[in-house]
Amino acid sequence: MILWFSLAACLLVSLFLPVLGQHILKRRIIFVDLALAQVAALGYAIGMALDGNGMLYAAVITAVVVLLLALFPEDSDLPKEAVMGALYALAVSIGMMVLAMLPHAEGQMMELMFGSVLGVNESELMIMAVAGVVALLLSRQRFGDHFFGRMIFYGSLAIAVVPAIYAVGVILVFAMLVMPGLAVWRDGENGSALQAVTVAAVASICGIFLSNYFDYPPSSSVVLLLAATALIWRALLVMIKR
Amino acid sequence: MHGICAGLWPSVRTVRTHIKEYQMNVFKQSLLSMLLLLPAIADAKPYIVATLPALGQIAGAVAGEDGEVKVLAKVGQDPHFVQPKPTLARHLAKADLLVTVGLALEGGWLPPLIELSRNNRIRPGQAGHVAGADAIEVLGVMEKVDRSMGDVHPEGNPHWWLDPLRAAVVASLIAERLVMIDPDHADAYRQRAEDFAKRLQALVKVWKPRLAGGGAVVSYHDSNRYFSERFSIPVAGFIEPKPGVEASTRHLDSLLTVIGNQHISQLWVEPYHMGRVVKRVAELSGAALVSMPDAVDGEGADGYLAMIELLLESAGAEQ
Repeated sequence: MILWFSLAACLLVSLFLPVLGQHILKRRIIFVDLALAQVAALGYAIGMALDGNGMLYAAVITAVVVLLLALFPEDSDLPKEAVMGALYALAVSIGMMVLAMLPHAEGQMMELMFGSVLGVNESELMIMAVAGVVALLLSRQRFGDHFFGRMIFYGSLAIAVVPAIYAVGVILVFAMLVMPGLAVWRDGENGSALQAVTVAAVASICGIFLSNYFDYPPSSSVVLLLAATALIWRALLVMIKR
Repeated sequence: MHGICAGLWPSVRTVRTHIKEYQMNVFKQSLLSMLLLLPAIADAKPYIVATLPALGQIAGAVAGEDGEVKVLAKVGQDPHFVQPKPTLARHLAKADLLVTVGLALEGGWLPPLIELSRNNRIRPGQAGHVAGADAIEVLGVMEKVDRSMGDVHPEGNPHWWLDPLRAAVVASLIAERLVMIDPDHADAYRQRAEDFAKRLQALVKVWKPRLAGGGAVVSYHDSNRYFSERFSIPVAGFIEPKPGVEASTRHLDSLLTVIGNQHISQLWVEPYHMGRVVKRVAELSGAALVSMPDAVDGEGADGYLAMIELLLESAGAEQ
């Protein structure tokens, strides 16, 4: 049972994360997903500290950060990747300080950052599916480089990435975002989105069955298979080109 | 600023008188501080620092009003991962006695704090350092250990403080160390340790037959072993068999089969491990999630007994 749910979760995220990842690769802001996830976890911790609804605080604080990020124009002279990295470090540190006052919330906050495919249930699969479809639809629109457009972009990322991290864990989400995109990257441009999704799906199936057969942690197996599939795919592309 | 200082500072003064006055001042100050400290030294209670809340309660049961107990980890915190903070090192700097679990349970955070405290009395091997595991019969010693087994303790399972009878043994060790530090209250320490042991033995005598014949349980890690063996509760499996390593789908699916076949009704989980995977296993298997805290609020003997009674009541429910 847990095998099939883990497989379904991996296949589901491999349908939308690689496509969103290609947008991230194009804008060169790889850290954005880690930063957004950490901000959401911080919001959750603050909510717990104030005896409020953790999820509500997470949503509000993530939305505020999305608005702040949207203030940065595409051609800003600040290195955006560094801004994301700084935001990540800041969110981790504030989170630690909140937790220092509140040892009971530690488990819950860690859970938000380090989910596991093993815990996925029906309702989480539904939430991820809906969030993925919304994020894909939003990211297909060309809103251009103005505040509203950027807000939609970061907002759609937050909608897709935060529940996915909660459900399958930050390592797997990070790998799903960048590895398929890198596998099909060509001549300084994004390659075919369909190919990226195929790479992710093949790696999910192989990784989960590898885990099940050899008794390995599933997330790690899928990430390993993602790397292997990505390398093989790149090699094939190069050979075909010749 | 300069103007004010110049005004306050006497303008004509030789270097010599300056030094003399300085020496005089140091002398006066040290004399004064010694005088102030004297009553404190005469009246000082042993300052006992315990790593975990339960150890603080055991130490408190022995020390009573003759000692002061400070606990480093908070209730609800995973004892393997305590965030080192400057205040913790400050408590250690003052400590006459440090009470630890031992078997490297606190290995990830305590050694640097002891180093930072510069307190030689509480270093491992000194009389001021109690590792409870040294006094008890250790379970789960491993012949062969490698990294693939996860975050295990090769010298043995460190979670002894959940067994009331081992806690009594450690209490008498703490009493002997306190006698060395504070011989004036020797009888009181020994008496309290003995009373504590009697209460714990009575508790075991009442509960052991009550829990006998109950069904097996599944535990998150192998952290309830001392408790379950003391009360003869069989443990059929673990949700995360290698601590810190995500279980495989195969392991969890076979665990679900075991739970179904053996009609296991309880999943024992520490509050800080109450995560999604645990809830999912409960959801799919129909077994009840039972929170088994390894620390509760409360002080001294009463606090420790309250924790054990809570664990016993949870284990005894629906059996």
